[in-house]
Amino acid sequence: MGGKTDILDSLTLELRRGTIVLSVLSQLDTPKYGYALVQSMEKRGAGIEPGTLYPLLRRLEKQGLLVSEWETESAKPRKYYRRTPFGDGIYLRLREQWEQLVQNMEQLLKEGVQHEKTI
Amino acid sequence: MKKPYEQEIVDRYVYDVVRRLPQVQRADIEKELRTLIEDLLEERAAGGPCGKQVVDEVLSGLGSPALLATQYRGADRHLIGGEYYDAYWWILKIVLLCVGAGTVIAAIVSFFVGLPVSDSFDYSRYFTDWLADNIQTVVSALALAFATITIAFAVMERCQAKISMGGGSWTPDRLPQVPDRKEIIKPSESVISIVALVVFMVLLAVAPHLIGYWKVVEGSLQVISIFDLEAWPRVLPLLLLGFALGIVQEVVKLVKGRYCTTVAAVTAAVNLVSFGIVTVVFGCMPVWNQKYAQQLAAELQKTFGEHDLLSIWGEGRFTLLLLGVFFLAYALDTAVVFYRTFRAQRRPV
Repeated sequence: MGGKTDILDSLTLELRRGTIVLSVLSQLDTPKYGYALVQSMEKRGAGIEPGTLYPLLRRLEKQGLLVSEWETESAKPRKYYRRTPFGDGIYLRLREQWEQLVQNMEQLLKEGVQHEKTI
Repeated sequence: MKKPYEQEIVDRYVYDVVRRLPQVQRADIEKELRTLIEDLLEERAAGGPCGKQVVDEVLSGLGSPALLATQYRGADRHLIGGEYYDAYWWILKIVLLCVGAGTVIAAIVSFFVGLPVSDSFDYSRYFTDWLADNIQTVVSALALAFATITIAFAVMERCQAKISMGGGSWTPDRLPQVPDRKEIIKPSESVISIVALVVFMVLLAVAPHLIGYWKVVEGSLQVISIFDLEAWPRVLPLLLLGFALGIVQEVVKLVKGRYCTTVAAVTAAVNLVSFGIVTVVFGCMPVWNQKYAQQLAAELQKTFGEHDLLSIWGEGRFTLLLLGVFFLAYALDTAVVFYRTFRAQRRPV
């Protein structure tokens, strides 16, 4: 059943997509450059493609959630991103939303399990 | 560390991403992207040599430059969006089919019309000349049709985007009324009009020399055209513009699907401009073959009486008569559309 795994893959991807911004914001209380972020997220099981992350960082900067600064003293120029105070505020609110979401989902899924037992 | 191939392929990759991005962002993204690729290469090579295979794997992992550039650009960019896409596709198919069939048929007819009957005639030369001329005609007619339809829809898309963005938030009272049966513009009417307009455009563009009196002389067909074929290259663009406007008007009707202020405004504007074009073309340009009446009279061996339209052929009275007919037609069309729009809007809720 190749179709089943395809559908599952795309649904999983969709489910994770919503969490990307929150997970990126969570890491940027201290300045980090893109690739360091790729690696640290990978280590925490929340891997993200550079092709997704780099454009996202720029978008968040444009929205005022992040600021960036070029570090050009070393051989490789690196762009460091960190949260702005505005970004801090948004991050905290998003985190509350997330916690609420987790609670609600757990409740929903628990009911689902009970329902399964009755069928 | 890198060998020439590796350096070159990275340069090519970065260039292919950056060229798709706005000028102001290019330098910044290029710097960022190069550092990222270096980091990825170092990690992948893990202290070992950084050969072709490693570079290819890293770049494949980053994905196609077009896709990466799309992610950098972010916003959804399109010429014709979901709302109009179906209508666009549908009309495009109909129009291209008409233009294609029309030009091919016209080409086939003109092949036989120009064909002299003579043993010494160089038929292969005639055929290759005919083929070269007509392939060009068919292709450019299709391209023109495609461009006209696409531009019309793109303009509508831009206008629509402005309306929906500039108007604040949506509320249910903005919903248009379900149209009364009499307010609905039947798609079939618009389609028939578009087909007719396209057929006329093709005829005028491809075969003006075939519109006139046909006769057979010694087995080969000859035509006395009603148009002045020497002036035709100047006249034709204006006429085509007029027809193209007509198509735009029908497309708006088709997309709106009902009589409303947009349809009324477009109809009034198109009819006004069309009448302007008609006035310029027939009033100021040598459209007609001035000798048509004379040639026809000689051909038929008769003279045209006072009540015959051909007796005033090419004169000022003829032009006035023609313009009068056009004026009435445009005025009537505009009036009907305004009346229907007015009636639709007065309908009690």
